[in-house]
Amino acid sequence: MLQKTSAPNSRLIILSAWLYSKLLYLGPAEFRRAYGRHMLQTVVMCWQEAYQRAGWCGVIILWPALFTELIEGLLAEHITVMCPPQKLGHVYIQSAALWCLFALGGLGSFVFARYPGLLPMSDTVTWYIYQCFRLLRMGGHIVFLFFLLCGLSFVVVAGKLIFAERRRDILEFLTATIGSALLGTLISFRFLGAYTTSELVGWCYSLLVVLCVLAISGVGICGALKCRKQAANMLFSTLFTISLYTVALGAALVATVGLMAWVGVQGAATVSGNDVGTFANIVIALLAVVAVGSLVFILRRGFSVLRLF
Amino acid sequence: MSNEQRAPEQLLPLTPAVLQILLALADGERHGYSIMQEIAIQTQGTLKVGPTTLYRSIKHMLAAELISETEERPDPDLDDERRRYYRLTDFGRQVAVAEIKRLEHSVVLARSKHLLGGLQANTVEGA
Repeated sequence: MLQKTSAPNSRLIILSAWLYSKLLYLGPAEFRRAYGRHMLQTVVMCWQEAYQRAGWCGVIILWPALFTELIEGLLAEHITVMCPPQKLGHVYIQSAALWCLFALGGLGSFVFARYPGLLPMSDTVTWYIYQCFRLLRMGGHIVFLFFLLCGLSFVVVAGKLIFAERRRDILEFLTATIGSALLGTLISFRFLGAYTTSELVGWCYSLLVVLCVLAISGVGICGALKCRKQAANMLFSTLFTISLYTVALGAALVATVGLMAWVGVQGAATVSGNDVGTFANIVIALLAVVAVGSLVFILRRGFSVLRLF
Repeated sequence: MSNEQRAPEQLLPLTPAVLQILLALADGERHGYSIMQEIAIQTQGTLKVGPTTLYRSIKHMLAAELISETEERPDPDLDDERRRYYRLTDFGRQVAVAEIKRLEHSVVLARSKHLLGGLQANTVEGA
């Protein structure tokens, strides 16, 4: 690629090209195969021009803008690949499955919070089991933060796509994800109690860790069976959905906890348990209407997808 | 869907990057880096299109049949054979014209409302 150009190829340009070619692997495989080589060729020409103009400083100065543009573009391409209209049915099924998982996690955390005797700490074996559960829950919190960070970047890029490219399919997908997460959070707050929040997140995401391990094992098996590409796409699609779902859940958690704290300070209501005051109940009811609306929307779309089969 | 059945207006409004790529290809076929340089010149550096945005836009424009790839090389001896050249299709030209007319309408409207102040048509052209 670098032979027919008259511009010099410093070691820095060669190193930069190598690094850029590795970063291209963050994007969808199809896009990389079709355009990766040409993108690399174009960016090398940019660096060569910058090198001729300002030496190695020119190459270094170009990096931050190229890096952010590359990451944002590849995320946008991932979202575009994941959300074509024909795949929306899969997205809704994933969303519903995740919602069930959260409901299961919420129920588990509720049971453990209400009946702590289920995990007696009297003998050594049960103590070790308890510590394993604690570690799993802590791991769940870390995974939650990881997905939250990934999901936030996805949401920013998806928002830009919705407004700049009028992507209605992405808007539908975000509505479905946020709606179902909001509903799950509201149910957990209203019926299971606010004190279960940390437990809920911990247990749900520890379940996700287990599922991810199973999925990765599945990818390994599929890889051995030579359908690695489909398996990798499926895994990435699931991780992508979880990331967006986490952002929605995080936003719902922050909004509800913030609301409760605010009501606790401003009003006479208490923050703990279900007693969060009249104002909070009204707002929660309004949020529930939005969430139920989203769920109806999801179900309606789900039925239309089912009719296709 | 063939281009005869599609109205150019269906694709409007275009994103700034897509419009600038169409304009860059208006006077002939170009490769990716040349498109980037032309956009920098025609927007006086106000719009910077990076390689990822450029090739994402190219991908969508190829799918929408606004542009097409060409096999010919302007000068095969000097040029890298692995470069891809793109040219404007007839439908792409129609879409570009429709978008420019839409923008022109906005400019006329802004002028009628004295939003542009003392700025005259020739001032804009001369800029």
